Amino acid sequence: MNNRLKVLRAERNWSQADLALRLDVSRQAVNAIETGKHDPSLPLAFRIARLFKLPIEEIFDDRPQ
Amino acid sequence: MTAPSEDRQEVRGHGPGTGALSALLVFIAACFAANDLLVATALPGSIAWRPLGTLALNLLMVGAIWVLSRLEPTRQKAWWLLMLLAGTVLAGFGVCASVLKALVASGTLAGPWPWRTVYVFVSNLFIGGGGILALSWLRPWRQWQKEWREWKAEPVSAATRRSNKLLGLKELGGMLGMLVLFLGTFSPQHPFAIFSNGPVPLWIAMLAIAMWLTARVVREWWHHRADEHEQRASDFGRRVGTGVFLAVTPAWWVAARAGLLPQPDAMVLWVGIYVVTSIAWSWRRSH
Repeated sequence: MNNRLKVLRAERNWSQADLALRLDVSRQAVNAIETGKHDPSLPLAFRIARLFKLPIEEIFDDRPQ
Repeated sequence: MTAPSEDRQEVRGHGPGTGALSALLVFIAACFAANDLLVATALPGSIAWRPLGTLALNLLMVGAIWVLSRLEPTRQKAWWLLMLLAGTVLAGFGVCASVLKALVASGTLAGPWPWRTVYVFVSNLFIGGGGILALSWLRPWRQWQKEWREWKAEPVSAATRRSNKLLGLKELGGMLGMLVLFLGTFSPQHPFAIFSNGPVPLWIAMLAIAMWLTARVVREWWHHRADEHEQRASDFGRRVGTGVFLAVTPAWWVAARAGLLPQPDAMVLWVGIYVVTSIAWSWRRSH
């Protein structure tokens, strides 16, 4: 699944560790999501969406690029 | 706010100048060459391939140290550099120790070429000493110190801190169980009886089993509390381990009945599957 997590994080000048702290997950988890190696569960996807104040579909995109 | 981790730049450490380090490595290579060629000429036969092969390996090792010391430091390069430098130190001082042991056993320097013994000892003393000097100059562990400082400076979520503590507790329990079993089965005649299938005193067995099972319970609790990325990596490792177990165990059992292999050994199976599971888990965590 494609996502804009890295861009959204960079816009706020957050490191992966900063984002992990806000989401209460490990930095490795953030890295895995950003690089598309791990698709977050629905609860985590909602936490991410709430953190960035965006709808989920503006962060995650399941259409192949 | 910390800098993004992926933007962090590797820093080149403060080592010796290229000339000084190159001179030291050329000196070590020359000591290796003179030492190995002397051994080659001393051996019977027209061509002593083994010392010449050793010489090729030694020169390759010194060349690799030079190349690695010139490259931008990374964790992997630091490991290789440390291993090669440690190999140089061990090779040099190991030969020195062997020469001293032989001298003590024979009690004399007498022989057809007594200077050869002295020469081998001194040249290897230089190799070992040169290795230590190169180690103290290059200090490959600086890369890990730098990464450790960066890691310590990173903000860590409460969930990750909890998860790390539980994992540490589980490792501690497992190691204590192993230690109890090691001390309980140790004897000067069989120092590593822990890895045998020999009898174990009852109270040692009870204690080791209790510690091991406690560590497993902590491990399950860790799995329950870990974040979803960790959980999936852990599940992947278990799936691979289970697959290997289901494939290997019956195959070994049937092969043993056909006389192709010895009887299945629970400890060998456990160690093998534990290693496979850990590798799969680590791989999935980083991929």
